Amino acid sequence: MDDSAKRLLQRLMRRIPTPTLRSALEKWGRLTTEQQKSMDFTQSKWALTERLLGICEENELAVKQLTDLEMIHVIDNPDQGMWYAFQLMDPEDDAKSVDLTQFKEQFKSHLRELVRNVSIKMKKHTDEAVWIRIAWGDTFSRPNHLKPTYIVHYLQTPYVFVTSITSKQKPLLSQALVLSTRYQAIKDANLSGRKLTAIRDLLMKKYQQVFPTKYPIPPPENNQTISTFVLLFIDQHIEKEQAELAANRLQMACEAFGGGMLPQLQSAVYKLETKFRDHSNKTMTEREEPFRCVVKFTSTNLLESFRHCASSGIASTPVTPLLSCIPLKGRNYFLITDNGPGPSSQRGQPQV
Amino acid sequence: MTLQPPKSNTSATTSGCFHLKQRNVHYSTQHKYSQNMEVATTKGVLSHLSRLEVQKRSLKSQPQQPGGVKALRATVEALLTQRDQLRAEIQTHKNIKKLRVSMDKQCTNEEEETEEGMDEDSENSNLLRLMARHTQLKDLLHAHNVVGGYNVVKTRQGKGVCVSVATFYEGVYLNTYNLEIDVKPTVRISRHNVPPFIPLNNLAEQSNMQTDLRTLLDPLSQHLNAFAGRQQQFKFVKELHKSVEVMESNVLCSLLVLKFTVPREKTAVLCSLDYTDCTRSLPTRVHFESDAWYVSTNVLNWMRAATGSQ
Repeated sequence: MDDSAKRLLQRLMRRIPTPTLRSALEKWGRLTTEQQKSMDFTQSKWALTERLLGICEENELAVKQLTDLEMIHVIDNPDQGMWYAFQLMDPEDDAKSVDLTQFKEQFKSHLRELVRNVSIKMKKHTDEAVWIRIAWGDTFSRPNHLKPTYIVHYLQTPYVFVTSITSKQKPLLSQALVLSTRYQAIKDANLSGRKLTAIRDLLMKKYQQVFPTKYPIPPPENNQTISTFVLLFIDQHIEKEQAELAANRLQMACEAFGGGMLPQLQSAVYKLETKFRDHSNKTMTEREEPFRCVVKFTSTNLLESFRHCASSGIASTPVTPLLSCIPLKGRNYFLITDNGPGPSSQRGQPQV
Repeated sequence: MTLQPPKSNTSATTSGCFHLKQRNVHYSTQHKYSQNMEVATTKGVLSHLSRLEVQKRSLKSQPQQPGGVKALRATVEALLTQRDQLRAEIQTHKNIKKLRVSMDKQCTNEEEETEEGMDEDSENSNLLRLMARHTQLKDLLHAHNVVGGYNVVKTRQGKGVCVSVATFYEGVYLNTYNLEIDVKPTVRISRHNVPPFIPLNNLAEQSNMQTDLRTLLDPLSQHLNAFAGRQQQFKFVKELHKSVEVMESNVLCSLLVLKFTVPREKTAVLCSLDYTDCTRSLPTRVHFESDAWYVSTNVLNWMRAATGSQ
């Protein structure tokens, strides 16, 4: 086993946590049963790495097989790293009949035309996702397997999800994707997150959405337990009066963000370019350049937090379109410029 | 052509009846006697009168029919019963209308249960209530048909609607997809849960949705139902036929490659299903490949694709 393979294996072992290591190795299928049995998963990571190195040398495994193991691990644990969504635009007529074989051949040939020394691996997952692993090299150097880019695409949909890509690599990847999927262009979808499953579910509309119907949602059971405590301090009559208002707020909150489990986004960023409006402060209002500020919301589950804000009354309902457009447009990065009539007005018209 | 009034003085002062007759005569004989209008009108009146006399005499000379009175009486009876029937129908109609008004009000205020005070006996009022309900349901069905069978709910105080498109396959209801549509100022889709592989934007552009929403909803329903049908068929094949292996599939269920194993010979056959028409749940092209070499190499390729080797 050469140095690069050893380094790759060491890096892999650092990346793969011990609990998931056993199943990953089984799926990989490169170890004999004795070798598998000889791996003692109670040992330290370092010891396991040494043992695995020995086994790989025995089986004469190389970088090619190790990248398989990496891919298996990433596919089974997609909610790591930072994923960015892209959207393909303007499909050609034959875009909807692009099958897997065609896509694979076309993507590989186009990317190889653009980049010498690139290592491409493509795998079709059971949920129809096509996973692509790219190790980038150039005219002078071999592919760097320590910093691969992963791409996920569902054929016949316009969305592509990418992790670990540099700004130099992006246009090359975009070109190859556009040509092989038979679309005309690709653009940034302005959606990013740590969990691939979350941003995928948001764009593919795989979560439960709530629409206006004749029958409003019954309030969740949690509220009842809370209200028993609240009753100690608040009059029952107030509770009763507020019940209808609470139900309305819940309906509006769910219509804006969704019902049930929501895709876990971690942040939303609003970049504002506006004019300072405070007549008492002449220096600020007389500035030529727009007033820039960034508002960032972070949470372990951002959409859930927003929904709770709306249903509990912290945020006013109907939910402001600035917040509800996160699930509506499927993005969490917004650039808001001011289109208002002038500095004398109280509020400009935010354009998203 | 303006009709001139008769020139003779007698017209102005005589009784209305005679004046009328003179007028009539004047209309009918105007184009016959052009020059001497006064003479012509008097001649015309007399001839008309004599004609009438002849008519009356001929009527009198006709024999009276003996059964005539009986027949007439029978007709009178029939007409009387018909009149009574019609009167009863009108009354029922009025009562049903009254009931409908209160029933429709009941439907919009579902909490309030108002008792309709009918002063007729209970059997009659029950029947009336049933008939009113029948008309209500018929109207509802008609409205449903007008809307195209889609569930529509008004939103935002009439400024928008929410349309539900149901999908089903072989009598089983599957997913329901919803579209929130703004109606004012222009018709525009504001929110929906249609998956991205259904070309909703294209359908919206190609439709005439500003004037007829069904030009969007009907093709959309076709696409969605066809997709639901294909998806169900695919699901059943996988569940019910364990010997069938899936070589290739996609989210739209429009490109499928399956591997069948012939039962006795244990040979493999590859079946490719192309659904180029996405509005249909049946394939446009089916290709069976039984050549052993071809099948085995392709199966290997697909297996490699699944395990991720280059």
